[in-house]
Amino acid sequence: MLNLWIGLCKGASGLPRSIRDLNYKEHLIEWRIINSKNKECKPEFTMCSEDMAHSVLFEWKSGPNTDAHQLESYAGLKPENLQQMGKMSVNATKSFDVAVVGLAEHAERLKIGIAKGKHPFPLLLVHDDGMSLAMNKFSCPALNDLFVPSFSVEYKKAPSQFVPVDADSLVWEVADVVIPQILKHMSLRDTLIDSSVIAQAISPQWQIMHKEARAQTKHRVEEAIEQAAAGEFSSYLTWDSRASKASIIDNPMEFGLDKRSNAFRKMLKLHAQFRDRLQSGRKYEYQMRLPL
Amino acid sequence: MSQMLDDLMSRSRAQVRAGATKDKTHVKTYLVEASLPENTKPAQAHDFVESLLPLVKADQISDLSLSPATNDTLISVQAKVSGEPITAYVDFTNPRFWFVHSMGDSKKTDWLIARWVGELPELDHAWFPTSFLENCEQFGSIRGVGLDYNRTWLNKDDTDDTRVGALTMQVRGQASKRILGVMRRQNAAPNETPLAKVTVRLNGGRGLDDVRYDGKLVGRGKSFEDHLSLASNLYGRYQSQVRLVESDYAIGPEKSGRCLTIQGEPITFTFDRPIQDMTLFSEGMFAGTEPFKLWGVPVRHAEDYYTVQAFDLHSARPLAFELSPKAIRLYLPKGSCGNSVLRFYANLQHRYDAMVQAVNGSGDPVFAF
Repeated sequence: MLNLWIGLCKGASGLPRSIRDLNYKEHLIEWRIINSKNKECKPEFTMCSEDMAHSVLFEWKSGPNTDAHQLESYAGLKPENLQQMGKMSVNATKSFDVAVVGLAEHAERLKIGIAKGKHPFPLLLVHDDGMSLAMNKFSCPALNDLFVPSFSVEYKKAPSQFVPVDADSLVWEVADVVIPQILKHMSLRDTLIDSSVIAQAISPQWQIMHKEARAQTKHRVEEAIEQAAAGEFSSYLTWDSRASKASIIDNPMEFGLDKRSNAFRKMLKLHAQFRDRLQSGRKYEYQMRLPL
Repeated sequence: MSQMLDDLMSRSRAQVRAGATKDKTHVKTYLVEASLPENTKPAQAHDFVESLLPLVKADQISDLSLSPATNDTLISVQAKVSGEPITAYVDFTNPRFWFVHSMGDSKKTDWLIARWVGELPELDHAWFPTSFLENCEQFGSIRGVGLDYNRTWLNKDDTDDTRVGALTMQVRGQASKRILGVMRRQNAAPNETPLAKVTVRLNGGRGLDDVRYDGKLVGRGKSFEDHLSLASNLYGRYQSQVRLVESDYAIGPEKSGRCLTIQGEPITFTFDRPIQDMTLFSEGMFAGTEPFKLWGVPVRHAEDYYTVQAFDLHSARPLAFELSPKAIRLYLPKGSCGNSVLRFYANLQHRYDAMVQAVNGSGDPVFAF
């Protein structure tokens, strides 16, 4: 969902251009803000349009329930909170909305949650072929028009690489971005790779991630490296779980051009096998190499 | 160096009469991009050049030596390539964007430069897309064009029998542009006629230069100054586009206080002729081999949608791609080199569809040459 909304704001090819045409720009990701009653809000995504003098703070719900305390905190937000803590302009905060985005199958429960608190928050429901406004309205009429009756989106055309992985990604998805990072370290002729360095490199949102989310992402990265070292890439890498570091024991970048090309061809096959294995859920036990 | 090359070019006719091959009277300038920041101090850049180039070993290279030239941003390289002595001058006045000049044998010098660039991820050619070469017209009259198209990397793709597999052509003379126009008509081969080279008779000077799409210039005139002026001008334009890609399109987090936003946007390459076989195309493109030198295993999400977390073997940096039949989105991570995008664009033109366009989210062209 995050990649989709960033793509809509940037007008990525394959997506409707109408959000971009209203000049909405992606502004903040997972941003924490204290409201006028000293309560914390943390919208997943925020977009602002100077042209529309309007901003939207998004809260997405994968499940059927809203969180009453969370919605109450959003209700306490004032334009000055957004200006001071979110560095949003006075013009873009002349009006703003908190939009709840959820799955169409959870429509009734989500509506009850919003209605119970008497919140004016627009509810956007995600269908197979787009999104629609199911409850309340945005304070920007042009934005309402886009979602009534429905805003068509071909989800498979949505960009997915602005934020390629997060704490909830599967290990094979993480491994897919980790392996090119390992190759980068090989090309820099490094001999040791710190899992934290890779976790940061693959997570644009690292600096503002919760401690738990960071730990979870780092854990996934370590799992991916350990599995690579235990299986398909065992002749290139070893893994030290206590130090959270991988050692490069055979670096194709140190070969001559011809030998290097062969090594990369071989590693490409290994990478495909590695992904297939992780997708199938098969894991290997890492065997520590003993110095001989 | 400048005076010497100028003298050699001026004396070229006499040299040819005296038995020298024409090739050795032409100055070749290779525009080579290094992974050094532009603000690197000359002494540091000097050490970088001195330590980097000798790393390339091959049976064909012998007696390689590097010596400082007349100023602190110029190094003279002597080597024998397959027994043929070569002298090249590496000018790193801008530590990132180098000029490498030589009057040595073209084939041997080309080989040496290709070896450096191929083997060292720290170096790459400058890459000129077709529209860049077309705009060379502003420096003089076009006296020749070269075409080079080859899609044999997709050699198992028999799905479209109207397409050309490979096409190379040289046209010399003032009518070359007219011939190119005929080739590009809709009923001819518009998708297979990317410019690989233009020959420019420089305005008001004594220069006649070949400009190749991989950043090689060959000065055939009598004046090194004219040749260098053209090379500098073209390189300046190229550099501005590389910087534009890095500043406006490279994707990465931008943090301000406790806030974060994602700067940049992907560049979309839209095809005039859609991809017929997505599996074949994506596997060929990311096989880690020439021409693209991109390494990665495509993930099939749908029949017409693939993603690839790739590794660019040229620049040794990760890149992400999304592929659909009509377009490819390229995500350049912040801190990566914009030159990767220009190389990909030029290679798509020469190896798949000469009419491919690079556009941004607004649908506007990314590049303005």
